[in-house]
Amino acid sequence: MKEATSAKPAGASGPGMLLHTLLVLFRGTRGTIMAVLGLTIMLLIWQGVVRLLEVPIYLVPAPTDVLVALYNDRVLLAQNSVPTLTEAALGFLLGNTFAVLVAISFVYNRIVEDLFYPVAILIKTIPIIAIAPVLKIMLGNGIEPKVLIAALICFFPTLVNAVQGFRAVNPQLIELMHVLSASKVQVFRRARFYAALPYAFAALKVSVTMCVLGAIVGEWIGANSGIGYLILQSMYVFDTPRLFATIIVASMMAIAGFSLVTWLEARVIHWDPGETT
Amino acid sequence: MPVAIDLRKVSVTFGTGDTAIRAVDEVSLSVQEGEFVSLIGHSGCGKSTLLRVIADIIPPTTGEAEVLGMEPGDARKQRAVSMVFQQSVLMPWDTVLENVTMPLEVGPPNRQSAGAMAPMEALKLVELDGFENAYPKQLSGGMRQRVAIARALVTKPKVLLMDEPFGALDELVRDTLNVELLRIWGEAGMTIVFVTHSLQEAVFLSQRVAVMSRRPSRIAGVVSVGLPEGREIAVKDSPELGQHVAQLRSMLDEG
Repeated sequence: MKEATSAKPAGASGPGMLLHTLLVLFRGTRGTIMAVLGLTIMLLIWQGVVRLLEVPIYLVPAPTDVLVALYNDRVLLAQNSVPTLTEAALGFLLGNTFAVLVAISFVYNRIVEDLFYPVAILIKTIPIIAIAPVLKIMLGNGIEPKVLIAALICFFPTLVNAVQGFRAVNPQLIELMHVLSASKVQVFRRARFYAALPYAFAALKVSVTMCVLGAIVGEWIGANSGIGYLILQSMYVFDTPRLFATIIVASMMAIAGFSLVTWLEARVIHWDPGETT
Repeated sequence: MPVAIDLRKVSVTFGTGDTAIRAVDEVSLSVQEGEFVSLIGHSGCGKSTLLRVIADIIPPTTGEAEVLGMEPGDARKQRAVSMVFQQSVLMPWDTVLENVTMPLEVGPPNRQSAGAMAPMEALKLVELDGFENAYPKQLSGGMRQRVAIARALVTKPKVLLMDEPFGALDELVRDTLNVELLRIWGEAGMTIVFVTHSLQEAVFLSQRVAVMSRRPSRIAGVVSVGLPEGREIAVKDSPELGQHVAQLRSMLDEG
């Protein structure tokens, strides 16, 4: 964990953020090189097997076929990324904001928590794919159901972590602030908020990848554009290389979001969350 | 001398029915203004609980507690009381100066900086000026505890409650901080109630030492120490201090 925490955030550029994420994820330079090497070996085996066994391209394309599709369809992929990214980003903001507000109400009101935590868990147990048609009927074919699905998928992990985080304050710090007659708002602003940040970032890293998934699921239920729409279209016409290309684009969106959150985390949390002082 | 803290038959019971635990049992103790009193006793004898009654963190189940002639809650709201714990309990996200400034930024608006000292002045008192922009993780355990003391002093409390403040530090650092605490007490002149496990430390620091017994959690006796003013750390090895320690130990064993 030493290297992971000491990895300094690189510049705000895209490649810089990605590099920072890799260094954090794979615990330093050696880990990153090994991870990239592992991926390369896997791709080479894939390429070799597909070519050797002469697998038809509509069944399993080779990595190079996918690269060609990525290049040829670049405009199409870019155009369809815009709605998906918009839905995912709006859902991310909506879901996380709502989760934090609910978490605050839970932490400050036991009765509210006892009443609605079970409801939140109940909602969590419903498969998101099963709620999607309901939301489509309720909200129509526009951007709203997609944003809401993305928001719903972000909501739960952030709620759980934020509740835990707001409570993760040293009880003696709460005692000291009580002795100083600090108000609840002051305790929140000076202590609970910061104590919750590391927990919040852990949740954001999960939900930033999930919100892309939520947007795509939303598009499956009914859309005229977006990565989810493109996935279905490519499937219907057996354009497997393009299908793989959309998968890669979707994955890239999630990786970009994850990089952004990881980079932001390193900027914001300059203290060691586990330290006891 | 007016009385700073007056406890009359204070009992604290946690829980109810068969599982109830009596943490403090009819303790009576009075501390003069400006006095330095230590509480010693075995783990779980209710020392910390008693401190929390004075700080208005825990209400007494029965009995009465008075701080500066008021209910503990009123004394707290006037910000006459401050506290230092075994851990420094600094906020790791804030710098040393921000940590020390925190007490002046919370509490009732008209009380926040009423009668307080400048945060830098508090840091000078604990000889940490020059470290105001450091973060807690950059400091040693002893330095963090100095910051915690500065944070407690910044409101110029009339009553300072210390819950084993040097218990987690090594002996050399503890000795240094013992001498410094006496110097600060001499300069600021507040009332100090000091909880410790160390008999030596209790005798060295205090004017009086209250010994608490375990079951029931009562005060077994109070010993007046009265070592010479302006004492240095060498006093810890003096035969006079040793006699007091021996006396306290025998009281603890009986309790």
